[in-house]
Amino acid sequence: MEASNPMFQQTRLILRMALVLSAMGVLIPQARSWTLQNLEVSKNAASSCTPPPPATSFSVTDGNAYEYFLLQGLKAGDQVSLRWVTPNTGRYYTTTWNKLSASGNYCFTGGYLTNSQYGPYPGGWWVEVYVNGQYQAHAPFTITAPCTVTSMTAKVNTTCASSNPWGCQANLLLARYGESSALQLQVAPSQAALVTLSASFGNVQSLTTGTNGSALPLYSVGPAGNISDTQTVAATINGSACGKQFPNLATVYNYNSFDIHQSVISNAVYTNPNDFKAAAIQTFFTAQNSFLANFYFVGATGGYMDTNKNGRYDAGEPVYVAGSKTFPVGTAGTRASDWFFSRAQAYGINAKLLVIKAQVENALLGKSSLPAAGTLNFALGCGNSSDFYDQVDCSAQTFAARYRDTSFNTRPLNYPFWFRTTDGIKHAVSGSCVGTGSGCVPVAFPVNNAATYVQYRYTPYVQSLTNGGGVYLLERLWRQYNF
Amino acid sequence: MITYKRIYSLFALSILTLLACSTALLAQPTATTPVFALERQRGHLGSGAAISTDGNLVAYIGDDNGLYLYNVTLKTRTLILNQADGLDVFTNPAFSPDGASIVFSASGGTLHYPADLFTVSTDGTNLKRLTNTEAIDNPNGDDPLFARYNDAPHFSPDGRQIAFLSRDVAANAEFTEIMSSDGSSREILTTGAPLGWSADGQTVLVTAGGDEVEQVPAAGGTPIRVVAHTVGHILGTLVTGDVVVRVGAAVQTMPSARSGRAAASLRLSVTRRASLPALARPVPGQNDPTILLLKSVASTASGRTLLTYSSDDIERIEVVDIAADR
Repeated sequence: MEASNPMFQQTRLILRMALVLSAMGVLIPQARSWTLQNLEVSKNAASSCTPPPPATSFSVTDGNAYEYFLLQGLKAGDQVSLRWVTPNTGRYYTTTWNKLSASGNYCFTGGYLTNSQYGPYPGGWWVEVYVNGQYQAHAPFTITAPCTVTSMTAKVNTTCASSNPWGCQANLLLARYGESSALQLQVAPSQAALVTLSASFGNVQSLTTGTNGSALPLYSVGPAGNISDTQTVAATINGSACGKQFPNLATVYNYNSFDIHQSVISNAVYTNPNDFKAAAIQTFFTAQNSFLANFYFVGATGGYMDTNKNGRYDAGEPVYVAGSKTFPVGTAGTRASDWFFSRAQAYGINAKLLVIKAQVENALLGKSSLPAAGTLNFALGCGNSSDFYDQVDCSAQTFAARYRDTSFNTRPLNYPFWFRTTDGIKHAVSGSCVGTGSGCVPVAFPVNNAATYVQYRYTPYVQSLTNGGGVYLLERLWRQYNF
Repeated sequence: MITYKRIYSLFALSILTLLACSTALLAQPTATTPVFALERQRGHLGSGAAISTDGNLVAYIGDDNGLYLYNVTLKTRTLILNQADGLDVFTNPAFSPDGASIVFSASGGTLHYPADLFTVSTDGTNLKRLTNTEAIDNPNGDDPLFARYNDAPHFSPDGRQIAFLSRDVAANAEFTEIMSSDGSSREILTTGAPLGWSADGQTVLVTAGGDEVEQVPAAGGTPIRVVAHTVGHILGTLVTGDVVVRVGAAVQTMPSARSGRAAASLRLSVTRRASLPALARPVPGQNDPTILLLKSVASTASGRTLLTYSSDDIERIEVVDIAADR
């Protein structure tokens, strides 16, 4: 007996075919007089013709891998050999015994591979038995590499554009019932390793990584679950390998009830400043029985109700004073409908947006009498002015500027919804999500047009509110007023 | 102790007198060719600019909504902060006295986003939140509102404190507050919006109603009204603490304290013709958007002064050297 040092040779095709057929359970007829029995691989060398305990898996921390088998009916001059075939390479080590000097039945022991020989080739091996060069049978066994995983990542959306912080969020899964997402799993150092994954809701595959350390496990949410449809639930995906735990690999949100409500206002309508001219606005104010039909602006100073319809401020007419300045009797102001139309013209937007915003923010269309200064000073919810005159201007500028945001900076039409893992808030106002420890992550939701984006940027969507902001009320009023 | 009402009367009289004959009495500080000028279309919501104490750095909001730094000597532009991490709509930056950091406001541009103050180093690092306003119930609807909207910050001359505007929308009120530069020890100083600090850091100049300016002791105490019911537009303060007012086509400075000095004229152009085209079409009967009106003035000890001109569509930032003679 002898165990050869590496003498790699290319396996002949006929043997490979025989092996395949054999593995499929097909018996290959052989013109022979001998019979092979008890072929096995063991971690122990047999000391006699008693089979040692068989083994099917070895690691590099194990010692030699020994073969054992019986051959009956051998004749003098027959020569027996083994091939220890490596995984996926077609290469093998050989063990060859001397030619037999006498006929008889023989047990063959002592052929072996050292761990330094099999260690570099983890995977599925087999040992093949040959008599006089003819294949007889084989026994499979597995060499397992030592698990040395020190880190694990699981990512999705890894192609997020760094130039667009709200374009998408890496390592975040959005899960709706029945949906699935693939994670890009990676262990390091690169190796084939059994990775066990778990999620607090939904299902995630456990699998073995490739030798490059990567795998694509599938996360899925079943057709039914135990989470409420009205809440966003944040869950984490955890992993383990080599007995080590790797928590918080990815975050999963259920957005089963998260409906962004796309706008019905086309970009062309949105940017048409002549769609709703001053006369039409005036008629609309009158039809709504709104105080705006008789209201005149006196710049940032304030305004008055022109109850006698002479166009000027007269003593006794209701007056709005934005701050501490006043204006004299006889002042001729700017009619509200003219100012709304003027701002729409100046910024290139549809005046219907401004008119509706006056209703959305402070129900001004439904007010027949002059509201308090505190209401008018922030009438359209704009953030950098505190008088009615500038509120209309500021609102128009905001509508225009946000519209430009969608094209001038080559931004995709995504709106960032902010989620917070710590309290399950479906969407938090962006500014409250700033800073380390806020627990907020932005998620981009595609919107169908710029109008949708702008409305969400003007009024954020907040799940805890009755109607949630965003496009909801403005779009409802748009339809209600037959715009 | 002199009463508040008495001081008001004294200064109202002196200002009216000096305005009538200021040209004849006073040497006029002169403006030279801008050492830096930048024009941008106001296509986005952020706005505002600041000049460092040494007059060499200008912070401003760029066309892409980013916060930028311009080095006047090196003629280099650096992006300090872009929209990220939930911050949006940068406004009203101001330098710390050592020029190492900038305080600014960030909001979503509407009342439905919080407006808070942040500081950032001029190299773009060390972004810190100074205020963290709370959401409140909206009495008029479902959209969110916030307790205070914070804006217009100004570092004190020693850099230890920041005066800023906090707007209470629910109460229809504006306050000037003071806090430590790390955001702690926040207190309401007075009503109205801050214009800046006096040179000695003892008082804060506050405007109320857009036509009055008061000098309010930073440690608390009786305010002194230094500009009363001006018909002009208050543009800002100089490093001396004097108040700058645009009256018609002229720019006037008004002493911030009873110094015996008279009001002075600043030879500054009140308007500029924009070189950029307007974003939207001119509206008949409305101002030409390419005619820019002087909106703010801020000076430094070096004599360099930051001017901001703007219309609905275009903003122009200029840095000029103004002789400090009187």
